[in-house]
Amino acid sequence: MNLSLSQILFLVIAGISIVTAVGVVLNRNPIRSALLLVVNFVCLAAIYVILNAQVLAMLQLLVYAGAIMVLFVFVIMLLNLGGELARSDPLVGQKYIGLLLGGALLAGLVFSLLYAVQHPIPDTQAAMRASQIQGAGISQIQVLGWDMFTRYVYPFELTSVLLLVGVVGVMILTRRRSAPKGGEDA
Amino acid sequence: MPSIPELCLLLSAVLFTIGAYGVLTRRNPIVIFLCIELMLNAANLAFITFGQRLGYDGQIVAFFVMTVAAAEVAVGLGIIVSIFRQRKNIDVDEVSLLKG
Repeated sequence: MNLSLSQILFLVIAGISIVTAVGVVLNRNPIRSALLLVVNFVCLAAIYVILNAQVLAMLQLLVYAGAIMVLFVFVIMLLNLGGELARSDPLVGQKYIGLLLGGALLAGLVFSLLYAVQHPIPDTQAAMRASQIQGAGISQIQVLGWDMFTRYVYPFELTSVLLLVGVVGVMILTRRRSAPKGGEDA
Repeated sequence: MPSIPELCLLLSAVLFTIGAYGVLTRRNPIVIFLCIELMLNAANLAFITFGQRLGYDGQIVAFFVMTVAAAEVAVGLGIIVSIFRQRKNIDVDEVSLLKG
């Protein structure tokens, strides 16, 4: 089996990513789950660099590992909660049925993704554009910025509205009521 | 040994399945949210893998997925904080006032 250096490196990083993902799901302590997910995001950023998507790798580190996970850690510390109570599952044998169905989902996903890779829909315009961009030596962030403001300007502006709605919504949701009126509900 | 894009898609499928199992099994709402973020990242990896071959559209869609995920995390954590602010143990199975 002839493995190139990039394949070996990819397998190591993918292994770490899977181990931390399993740790996120199985860990009883939520703060440890959050920190393991940060490691997972850093591994994914490294994989994006292997896939020649350097701008997205930096954005992954800045946005996901640097902002979203910090927010998660803040909320976990704010709520100051312990682990889950041990409780019996509603269904008999729920964990094993869950693993079985999870295996079925995994098989379906793997089959469909590998089928899509081996039978690609030929899109000559995008491929021509990609080869033009690579031939001219334009930097990647310049291409993404150009696309963002010409072809994808509507989604770009709509996401700015979405973020504004999110900010205002969170401020309204988490506002404390001024005077509790006997039996304050959340 | 399959090529790196195929290995990336396998990794994306595995991470998505692990995230889905976590969403359905755990009872702590913050850990459920962490597993949702894991599923979103698995989908992002699939987008970027396909974008490697077909131009930069996959990377732009992944950019928008990151933006929407950030907004969703903010609002979702606001909801979780406002529901569970006054409880000792947080457990999604106990939020069942509307249960028929």
